[in-house]
Order: sequence, then structure tokens, then C-alpha cells
Amino acid sequence: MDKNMRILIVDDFSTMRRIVKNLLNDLGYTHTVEADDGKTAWPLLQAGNVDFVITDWNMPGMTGIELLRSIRGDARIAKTPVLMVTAEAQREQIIEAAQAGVNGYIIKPFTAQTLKEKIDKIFQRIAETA
Amino acid sequence: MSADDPLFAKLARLTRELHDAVTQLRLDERLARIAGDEMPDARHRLDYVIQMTEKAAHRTLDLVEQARGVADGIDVAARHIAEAESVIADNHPDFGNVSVLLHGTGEDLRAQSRVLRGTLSELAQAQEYQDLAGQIIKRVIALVCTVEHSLLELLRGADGVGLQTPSAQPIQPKTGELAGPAVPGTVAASQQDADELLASLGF
Repeated sequence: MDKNMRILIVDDFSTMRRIVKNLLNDLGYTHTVEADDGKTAWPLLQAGNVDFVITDWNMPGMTGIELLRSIRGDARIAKTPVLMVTAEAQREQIIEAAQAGVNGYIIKPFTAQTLKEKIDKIFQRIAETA
Repeated sequence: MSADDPLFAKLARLTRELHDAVTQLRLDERLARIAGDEMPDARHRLDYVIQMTEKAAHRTLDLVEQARGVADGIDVAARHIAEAESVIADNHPDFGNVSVLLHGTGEDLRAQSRVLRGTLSELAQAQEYQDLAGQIIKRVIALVCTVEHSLLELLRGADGVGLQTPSAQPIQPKTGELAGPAVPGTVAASQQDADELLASLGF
């Protein structure tokens, strides 16, 4: 997959954004942008140069699930893969995210290995269905 | 629920009785102090804990980045040694033992740098506690805030100002409320559970 793709990291905790960014750098992805909730993420997505979204769920302003639904509801960016990275670990939440069209779901705390596996799996799936 | 609702009347009477009981027990002053000073103080302290851990986590991440620079430096040194090794091999074939020594040193440096990078990645990853701990503390702050407001409302009633109208936000199960980070004793899915669940949904 394209290591030059532009990845949008959405999380209200700056520590977590930095950790995810570090992990992505370790995996060779160096083009990242950050937003602290769905509302600040939206204009970045609208600008049209985000290839992949990694988002938290529980954020003030606009949550990750609302962001996911907005992405899926906007024809121009609807196909952008979205990986949810969240502390929400209830079955209902996982099902809700799946129904909203999430591409992957990681429960915090997570490992670098899990992040790599999920990203690889998402792009493998996309390649298979392309 | 309207004011002429029998349940409302009963609730109003119970509340009034509670106010009377509170006044009689002279608890109002103590409760006023708790709701007016101690609870806001507790909220500020918890807020400060979040700020402090956030600062500490960023400081650790700064240091991790600095140490990654050191790992880069070790790699550069290993490359220089490899260059020296090939210069010696080309120009001084009789210094074979020096080449072997340099080769071994270069390999050692590269191995050390790999270990160092691995450790630094783990160190950075370990800082995710700040996000989880912060989310849990934020929930406790919200709870303290709710109790504080309820208590103040109760005290306003007990002060003789009269019973307040029922809260604009009646207690009801909140739909769609998130459970937040798992804490010991709660039922929560593991990453493996999540993977299996998603697989069963065709992911």
C-alpha cells in the first residue's frame, strides 16, 4: 500500500494523537494531519486530500461515530477508509460502528502490532474488492 | 409529569420532608460547604491531575524523540565503520584482523540501535495510559458536578426559598451513552472479542 498516503488522526487527547503519529511514522507513514474532534476534522476531509482516517469515538463537539456517518453520507469522500481507535469496548458500540460502515475497530489500550495488522487488513480488503 | 400528578405531589412532599430533616439535623451548613467549596475543589484537583499527566506524557514523548535521534546517530556511526572497513579491505588487505574487528563492531552497533528503537517505541506506546486515565477522571468530574448541582438545588429548597420546580433534566436512562474505558469489574470486549464480532458481521 501507498506509504505516502495522507492519514488524518482524530482524537481529543493530544497524547494519543502523538502516539498514533509516532507509530505510523515507525510503520513508514509520514504524511499525517491531526484534528481534535469531528468538527475540526470535517473541513480537512472536505478539502479532499485525506486518504485514510483514524478516529477516536468519544470526543466533545462531534464524536467519531458522527464523523464516520458524515463521511459515509458525503458522496465525494464516502469511500475513505475509517479505522476506529477507541476505549469503547461494549458489543453494542462495535456493532453500531460496523453498521455505520467502519473499516476496522481497535480497542484502547492497543499495541503497535495491532495497529499495523488492522491497517494492513483494511488495505488488503480494499485491494480484493477493487 | 405535571404538578397535579399524584406522584409529583408525593415527591414534592418527600422532598419537603427531606429539607426539614436536613434543617433539623443542622446538616445544611455542612452540606453547603461540601457543595459550595469542597466539591468544586475536588473537581479542580481532578482537572489538575489530567493536566499533570498530560504534561508528563508529552515530556516522555519529547525525550523518546530525542533518544530516537541518538539511535539515528548510532546508525550513522555504524555506516562510517562499514565505510572504513571497505577502505581497509581495498587498500590494506594485510590488515584483515582490523576489518574483522570493524565488521563486528558495526554489527554490534546496528543491533544495539535496533533494540534501542524497539524500547523507545514501547515507551511511547506506554503513554497511552494518559488518554485512558484522563477519560476515566473526566467521567468522575462529570459525576461530581451532577451531585454538586443536585445538592445545591436541595439546599436552595431547604433555605426557605421554597421548593424548586422539578429539574429540567429528569432522571431517565440516557440512551446512546458511552461506557468509556473498561475498568476492573466491568464487562468489556477485548480486541480478540471485537475481531471475532466483526468477523461474524462479515468484516
